[in-house]
Amino acid sequence: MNPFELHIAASLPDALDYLARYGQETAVLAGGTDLVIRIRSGREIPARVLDISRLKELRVIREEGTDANPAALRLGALVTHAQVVESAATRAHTPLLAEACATIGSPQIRNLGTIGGNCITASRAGDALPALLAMDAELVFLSKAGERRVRMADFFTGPRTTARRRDELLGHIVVPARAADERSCYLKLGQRKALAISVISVAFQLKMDAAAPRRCLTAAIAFGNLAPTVIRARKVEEAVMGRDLDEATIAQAVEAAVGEVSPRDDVRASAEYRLAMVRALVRRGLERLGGAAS
Amino acid sequence: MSETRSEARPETRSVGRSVSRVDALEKVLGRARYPADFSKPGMCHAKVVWTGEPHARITGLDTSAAAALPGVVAVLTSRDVPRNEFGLIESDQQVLAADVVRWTGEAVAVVIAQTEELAEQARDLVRVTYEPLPLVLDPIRAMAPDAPLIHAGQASNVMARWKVRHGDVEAALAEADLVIEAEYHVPLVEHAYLQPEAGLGYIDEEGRVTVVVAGQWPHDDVRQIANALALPPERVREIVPYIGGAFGGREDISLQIMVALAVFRTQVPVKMVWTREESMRCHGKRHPFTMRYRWGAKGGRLTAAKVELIADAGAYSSSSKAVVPGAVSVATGPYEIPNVSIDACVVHTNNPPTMAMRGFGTAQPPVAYEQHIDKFARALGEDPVSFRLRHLWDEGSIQPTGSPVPPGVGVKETLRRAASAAGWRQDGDRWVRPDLPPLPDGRRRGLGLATAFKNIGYSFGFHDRSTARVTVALDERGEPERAELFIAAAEVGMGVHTVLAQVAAEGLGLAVERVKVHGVDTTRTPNAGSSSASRHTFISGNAVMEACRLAMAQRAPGKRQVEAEYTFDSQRVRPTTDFDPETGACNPHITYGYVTQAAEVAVDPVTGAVEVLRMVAAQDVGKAINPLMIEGQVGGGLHMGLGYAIMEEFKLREDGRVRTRNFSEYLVPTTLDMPADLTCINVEVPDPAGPYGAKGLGEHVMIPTAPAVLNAIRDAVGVDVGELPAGPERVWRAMEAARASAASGKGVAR
Repeated sequence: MNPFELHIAASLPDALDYLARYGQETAVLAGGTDLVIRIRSGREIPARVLDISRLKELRVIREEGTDANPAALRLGALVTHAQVVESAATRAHTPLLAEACATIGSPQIRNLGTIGGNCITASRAGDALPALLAMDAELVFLSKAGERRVRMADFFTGPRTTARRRDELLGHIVVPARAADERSCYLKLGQRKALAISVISVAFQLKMDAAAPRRCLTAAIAFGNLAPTVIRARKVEEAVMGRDLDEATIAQAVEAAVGEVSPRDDVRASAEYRLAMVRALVRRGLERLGGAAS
Repeated sequence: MSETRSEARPETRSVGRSVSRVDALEKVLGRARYPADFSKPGMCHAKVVWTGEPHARITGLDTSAAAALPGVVAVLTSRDVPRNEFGLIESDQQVLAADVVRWTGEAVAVVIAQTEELAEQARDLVRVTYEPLPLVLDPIRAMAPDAPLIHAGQASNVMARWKVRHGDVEAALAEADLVIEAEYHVPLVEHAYLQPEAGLGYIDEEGRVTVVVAGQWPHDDVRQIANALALPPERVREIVPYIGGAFGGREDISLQIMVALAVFRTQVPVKMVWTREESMRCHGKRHPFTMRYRWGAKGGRLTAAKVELIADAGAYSSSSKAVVPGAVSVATGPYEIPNVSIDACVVHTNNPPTMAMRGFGTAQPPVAYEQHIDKFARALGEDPVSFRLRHLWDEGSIQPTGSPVPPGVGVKETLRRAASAAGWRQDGDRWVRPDLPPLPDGRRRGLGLATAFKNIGYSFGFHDRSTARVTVALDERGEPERAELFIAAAEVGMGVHTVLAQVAAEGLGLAVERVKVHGVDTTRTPNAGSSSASRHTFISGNAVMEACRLAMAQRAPGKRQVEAEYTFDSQRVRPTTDFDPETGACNPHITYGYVTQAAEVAVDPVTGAVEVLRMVAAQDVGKAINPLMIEGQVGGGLHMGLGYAIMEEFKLREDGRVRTRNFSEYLVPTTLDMPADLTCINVEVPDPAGPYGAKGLGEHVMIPTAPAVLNAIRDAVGVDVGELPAGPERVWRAMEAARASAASGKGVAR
């Protein structure tokens, strides 16, 4: 392991000061479930590591808007996956995210790994990311210059690269609450029940017509590990919006999905299998959410 | 595990009881020390320069920059090895590669420095240049007459061939009214033990080159270290502390000679610890097999079995010449089939050398023969339990090698007990499988079972010896007070020290806590052979039992201590013989343990994902010396078998380099992948030659798992998966092929 200077942030201003000065050569440590492995294996060789894990204010889940019916949840970047899975607020208002976070790593990883870390790592297979993308989450970056908001849709700039500036710290993630007439599900195909990097994953959040229960009004669908970054499946969304989720619509959506993805061959699966599975999971998700009850 | 049935016999006090493991407290408290936990003041650290090339000639080796780095004590190359060779059966491997490297895990140099970081730095400064040689990765291609030779000077890449001829298989196939033919394939598999290779070496107070390592056969390690260093064996000492799993993967030399060499050359203590990546790349693997089965039945009875086995030895011979005969001897299962023909060969490639791994050649054929048996039962419209029971061995059954089965044949009982526990019911002679309620989530449920067997101890005429020494302190009346047991049986985690303590306690009439089992040190504990072949309970158990008997016989008035040493030799009790080169006739093995396992699975008919919901294991252990430890072995065996069935494959890239470099790429089942519902049933059909009737079980309990799961997958979705592992993509491909075939009107599937 290459040596680096470790700075343990004593406060948020201290962390922002540090990044303002050394941001270019600093890796930020939150849960460490990804960064430590990357440093140990030499895939990442930072000169400095900023440990933000003691910043308690970033470990909080807060409801924004009215208490009874919040417009959004504000998740601190250090909120762990286990917190997302277990919190009453996330289960009630952002169930898609809770469902996605439950598939990350193992119980041990979920106790350490953070929602902010999952975003910053920006893996094409990061399991919280399709959910955040489908839910139109916003990332709130902090720096000495102030606050900057970036929509998830604008966040990924390439494989493992993001719109974060080197002097910025991810502070919070604002996730719009799911409305009463929305249904969601997260489908992940892995090779085992824990510690399984997604072969592929699909996040769905659909608004259904109260008057016509199979009618989809709006759709947000995102794919994991099917392109160089997590992506929104816009053509699939277009294929279902305003339509009844019947066999014809679903068949069209499945075909549209094929046109959206660029799956690869790797040690876990072939591109051919991934392509077959995106068809299968798009069908499965739409059939499940288009049924009479969610 | 929900059920353990074992009839403890009242006449034994220690044997048959689930006493706590003698090492339990130390391990639970974290006091047990493993090789990497040992250090010495002033010790240096060693790192290996690995080739990384799968087949190449070394054209240049420049160690000057590494040697010049301050803090580097030595950089050792092949020139520093007195006799640059090692190997379990044949010494065909190089300690440090001198000329040609034949797989990516060969060592080229060892760098010794004052700190681990310096050693790493210096390792990266060693420059090696290569001229690539033609690669041969596919064993079938390696057999071609024009294939590039892995070992120059050999006539062919085919290392060895075996055949068995019993009855007239061609005539029986011609007369058969049902012939089924299929090809099965099992992949390269990693041992995946918890503890990566590590060792500390030093010169002891008597000037001996000493290594503290995890070795499965300490005395054979000493033989190979002494040979490589050109020292008399008494100048070499191996101490084996606790071992974090082995599964056969520590039967061969890994770092033992390198650590000894480093100490021998520098005369300072040296420590070497491998990373997980080094461990996975640089130790051997389980043999991949291609298995061609063509069997015939007449009038509902199996009459002919023709089998062809092709095994990949990888780059060096290791124990291939003992593993593949094991496969040959079990190739047609524990079934009475009058006409048998088996041909087998093992072939060199540039893949990792394949070696001992839990099963030692007997884990691969059941994947074929147990799927094949199910195919016959299905074709004949008979329940798989009933069909098996009509063919399984009884006492006195004749093996394909012409000799009768050793006494103590509990195989049918394992099947009856496992089938009953899995829900089958008996209706006269017929067995009726349970109806499984459908799963609410649309996945298909399936139930399968498999029966298998394995030998205990070394085979084919090899003397299986174990020496035990016991000293017994006596009280005034001459009754044993406490005992000390000296036997170099490496505790790889399976519980041998506890079993031997129980056997000694029983023989001496002591409580188990009164028997101290000394740790393995080749200068203090006598040679017990390897911790492999599921042999210690039977072989070393017999040695301990007899040593205790001899000690007790020496008691005399006034004597306060007695001592005895005894060497058990299987050839004097249950002699075995090697294959006749033409007919394969022989008496292959000392004795057998038998196992039947059942698996219930849920298969996603869209994605091909398999979940194992429930497992039943029934094993004929002869006598359950410690039922609780058997449950532990069964849990571990099912885990390893489940990985073999649906997950594990050590993958290489087309250029021969490793694709599954660590545990995020080489997947083994996690705790969450194990079914919560495990049933463990001990069947006790004693072997009269075993201690208290005991046989052995360490390997047996993983052998039928994979075929049981495959048969359950077939039951769930109607497709045969002839190639392991049956991961989601492979099951999906099999279902796609069946759908395509059904669509084209050929009609396959159920």
